[in-house]
Amino acid sequence: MENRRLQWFLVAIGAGLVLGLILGWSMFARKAADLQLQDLREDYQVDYVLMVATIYGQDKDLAAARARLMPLAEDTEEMIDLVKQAMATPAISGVSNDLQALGLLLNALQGAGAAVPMGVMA
Amino acid sequence: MIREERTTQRTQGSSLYLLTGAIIGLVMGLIFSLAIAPLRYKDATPDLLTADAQTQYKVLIAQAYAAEHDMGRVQARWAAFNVQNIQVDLHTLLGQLSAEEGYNANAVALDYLLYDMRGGERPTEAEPTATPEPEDTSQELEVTEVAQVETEATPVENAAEPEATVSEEESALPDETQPPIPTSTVVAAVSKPFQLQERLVLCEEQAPRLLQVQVRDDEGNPLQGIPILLSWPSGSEVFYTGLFPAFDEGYADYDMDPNETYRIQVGFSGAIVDGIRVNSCEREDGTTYPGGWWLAFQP
Repeated sequence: MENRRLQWFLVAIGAGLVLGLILGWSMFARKAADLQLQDLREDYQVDYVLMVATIYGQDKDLAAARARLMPLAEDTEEMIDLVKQAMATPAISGVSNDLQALGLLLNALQGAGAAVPMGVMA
Repeated sequence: MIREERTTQRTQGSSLYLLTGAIIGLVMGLIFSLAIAPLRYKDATPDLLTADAQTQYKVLIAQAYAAEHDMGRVQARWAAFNVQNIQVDLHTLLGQLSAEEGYNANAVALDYLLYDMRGGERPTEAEPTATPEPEDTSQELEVTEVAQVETEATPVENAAEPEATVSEEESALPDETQPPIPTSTVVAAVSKPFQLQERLVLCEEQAPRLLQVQVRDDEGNPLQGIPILLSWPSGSEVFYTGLFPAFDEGYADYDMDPNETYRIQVGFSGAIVDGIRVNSCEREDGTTYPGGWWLAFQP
């Protein structure tokens, strides 16, 4: 009798455990997850970088552009890599205005005098 | 009878130990799934971001729009947030940001986008003109921060104010079932941030505690529709010049609470004037009454 009670007790624990895992990994997961900009899917990150480049293309404020990129990249090297990745994205590489904006931002990040990759500028 | 009670107790006991087991398991499962091995999203869509990150993303969309004026892209980008009505979402965000941070660059970008989304026309930007050195006449008030500017106004609904500006686009609301959205009616462009040019203590018993603000362009012409952000420790409010056009198109006023100390900013990123509070004025017989301020701003 006691063995059966123990078995059912363990079964109940198991059922509760499964339910807790399901709840924790599904219903409560979004609340628990502290999703920041760096957690964005790659295509959204590319679009984010493109927006930063578009704004930079107008205001030429490199400090502001760097500040906007900070959530995605910790230092200038990472920012440069991000911009390069964005430029290599097929959705971007066919749009000359976007490439031009990204090229300008890349130039600015790499420092004055750095050349925009050939074939990038429209 | 006694046997029946024992049977009932035994049945309840068996249910309780099962329930206890299930609760223990549930707690263990939650601890494991939320604390020990929480689910990590690595390919998140914008609508899953934290509220702050979403705000940052949306502001960036608005700022990018200000740079390239591509409404199609805005629509596509905003669609990632799964909102039913972009205008409502935009307006809500604008209200939150204005209340929290003031009518700053981010709010202006959102306002600009909202204005265009409703089919408004863009203002003709004033040519930058030489600006005289701001003359800071304030001695008691603290003036801080200055930055660059372009101003676009969204009117505040204020039933108490006479002769309120009538919206030209009220009929253009997208859907009558949607929450009403204030419509931009007056757009003004200025070339420089507004600075405090003149400050006077107002002692008028007919209008005690009144904060009067006059805003002019750098040629001295009154400017209508300039947003004035008034903030105090527990809140903030935006009001606009031009609600009394018969008196002065660049005029606005506010009835101050005697228990509050205000901070005022005229236009986007204009100088912030701090420490504004109700004055104490003295009658000829020595008794006192509350007084106000007259503040004049110019780029």
